[in-house]
Amino acid sequence: MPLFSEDLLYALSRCIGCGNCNTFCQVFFLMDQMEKFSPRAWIRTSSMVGLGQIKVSVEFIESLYACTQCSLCRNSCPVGLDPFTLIMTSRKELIDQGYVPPIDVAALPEEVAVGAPLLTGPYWERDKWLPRDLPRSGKYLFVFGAWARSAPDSAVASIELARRKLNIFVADREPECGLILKLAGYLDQYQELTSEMLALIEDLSPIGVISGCPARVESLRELGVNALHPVDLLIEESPTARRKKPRVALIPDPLARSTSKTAEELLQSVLGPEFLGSLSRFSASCGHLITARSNPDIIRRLFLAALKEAEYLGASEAVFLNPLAFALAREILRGEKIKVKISELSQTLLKVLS
Amino acid sequence: MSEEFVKILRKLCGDENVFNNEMELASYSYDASFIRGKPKAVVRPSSADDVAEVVSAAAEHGVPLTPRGAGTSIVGGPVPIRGGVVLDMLRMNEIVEIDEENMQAIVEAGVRVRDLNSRLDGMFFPVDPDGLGVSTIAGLIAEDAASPLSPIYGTARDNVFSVEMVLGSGKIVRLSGNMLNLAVGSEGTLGVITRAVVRLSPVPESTSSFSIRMIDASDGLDLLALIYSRGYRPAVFEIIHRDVLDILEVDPEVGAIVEVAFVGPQPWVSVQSEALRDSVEEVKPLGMEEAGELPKSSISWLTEALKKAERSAVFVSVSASRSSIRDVLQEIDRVAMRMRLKTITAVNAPLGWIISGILFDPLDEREYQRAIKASEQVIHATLRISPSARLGFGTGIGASMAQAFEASFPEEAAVFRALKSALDPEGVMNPGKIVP
Repeated sequence: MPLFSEDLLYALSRCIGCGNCNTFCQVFFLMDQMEKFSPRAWIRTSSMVGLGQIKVSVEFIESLYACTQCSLCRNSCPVGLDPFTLIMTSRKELIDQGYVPPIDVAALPEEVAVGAPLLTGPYWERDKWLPRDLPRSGKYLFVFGAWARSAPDSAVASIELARRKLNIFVADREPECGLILKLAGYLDQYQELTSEMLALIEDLSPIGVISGCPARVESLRELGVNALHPVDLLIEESPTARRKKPRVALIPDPLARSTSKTAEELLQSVLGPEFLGSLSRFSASCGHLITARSNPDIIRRLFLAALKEAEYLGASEAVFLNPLAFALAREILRGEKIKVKISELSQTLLKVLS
Repeated sequence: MSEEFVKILRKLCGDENVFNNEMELASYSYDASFIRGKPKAVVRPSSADDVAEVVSAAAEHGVPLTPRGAGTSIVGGPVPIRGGVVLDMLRMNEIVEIDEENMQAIVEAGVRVRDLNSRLDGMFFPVDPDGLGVSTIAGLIAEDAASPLSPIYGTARDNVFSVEMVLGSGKIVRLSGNMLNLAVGSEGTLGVITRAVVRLSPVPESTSSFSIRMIDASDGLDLLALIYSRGYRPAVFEIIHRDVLDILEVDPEVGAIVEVAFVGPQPWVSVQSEALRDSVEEVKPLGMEEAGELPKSSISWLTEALKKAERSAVFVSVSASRSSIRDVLQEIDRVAMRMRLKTITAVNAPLGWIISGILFDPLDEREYQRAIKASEQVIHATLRISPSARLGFGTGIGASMAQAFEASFPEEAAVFRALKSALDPEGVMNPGKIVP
């Protein structure tokens, strides 16, 4: 049986090798422009693997999972390929053939989905950190997932922000978004989770769904769900004069472009000149977790480079829009000497708006 | 090549800068051409001294060495077709100095056009073949690359003052003046460019461009002759041949699109633009649009056609005398018809530079072989039609046109071999390029 579908192999083999995608790739530059860490190499070597010119080696799989799914290469191809999607599809079809991500000895989809065990924290014991007075029924369903278990402090902050504006409730069951599964290449399992989640939402029939994870909000929207992020609720907030404001640089989420934009506008309006803008060269999403588990060095370099950029801009705080990326940064940078404080958007907002 | 040699490389450049597992080697086995060749090892030097040591060691052990920049060549320049070692120059990516007063910059070999241009204010490095700035400047010098603006800014040759080069013997030399020609267009066959002093040009005050729809490419050539005879100098004059327009499903009445631009001080640009508007009436165009920025480049037209056709392409790059261009285009059309293949062709008319891509299905081996054959036929036809034709103009000859070069120009190939044996006595520098 061929390794790849004909459609995928055709697209991979159609790459003309111009290398423009490489110049959009964070990983490529963080790894000192080593070709093996580049979209062109991921596409070209996948094609070679598909054509039987090289074998599927551990090094090949490891390199394919070095991509952080930032998706900046998406529109870089002059001949109309989508490198990001080609890399994701290659992962998927390799998984279908039994070549799982190089994450752990027994990398099970469930483990990938919840981000365990790289992140520490109370994964499952939601009742230990969830505010006790949250109703189990109401108008807007607040959903959690890997991000909330990894950064419960952020989850609590975003609940606080959301309940200021809306009548929120939480479900008894916790629907996973499965986005990490999708990015890792477990597409079938992702679709299963998605249907489960949609069924639950239909069951509870809320007016809308709220999440503190921007990537989740945008992927829910793509599924036709009325989804909101706390920043969407707070966009009309005006600045408070009372406390000293931090000087903030935002680390946007490439998988949530519209929420990144809204977050920027909100920070601009509540912080004024203390908001220094979004980092243009660095972004962070839940997808970084996959890379962190196959090659932690890349993500460590990425976070350090992002913080350096924030410091260069004059920031006192580098604020992650994506709470899971924040949790990951907190874990990976433990013990590193860094000058800029790392923070997560909901927590920062809660401080400046109270 | 032995394990022993990999050990030597590790000792010279450090473990973390030498690779030899299959995946890593595979990722240095290609560029933007159809040529493939897997190295036995990859080494990433960080200084000219590193390079000199690697070159000396390679010469001593008779190991082929292929320098590589961004790997954007369309003729296989950086592909190690004889195996051996790839010298990845991308770690040497420092912009050493920007000298605004003298309008020059000193760059290391791995600096890309985009890196340099993004650091400049009011000036630019004008040789940018893909228009994206992806290529390294040393790579462009090594291939004597041309780009859309070459009619007034020249090719890489005209934009470099001097280079530092490690010769095949391992000696580090600084080449300028006449000696510079040993580096420009040498395609890594004589040595490795490690640093260059390049010319910067002022960003033009004003730009005006014209996109002219014509019945035929010949009308475009007539238009160029007209404006040349009146003493004007377009910065861009590219003819997009009908094969490209067919694929893009442009109105079939349009047989060619001519992209013209004038740049410079505003009064000079407007005088030239006015002259073009007058001249263009004489060739009876189908229509014309004007804009205030550089027009869509030929390479953008070609890649857009590749996108639409969903095919890969084998590229041929030649230059021919202007008077023979129309015949060459006709011959390309004939080859395409005979071989049942589609082509995409554009002409940088002032330079007589023709780039033609022959499309093929990347999963159809037989069609691919036909495309290769067609590319050879295009080369031979061009040489027959235009006695002054040059192979590899603007791109280098690389590996893809090396056989055609030796077959068509045996005396010149012999001169090149003599030169190579003087500067690279062990014959280790990028073997198989320029001549087979």
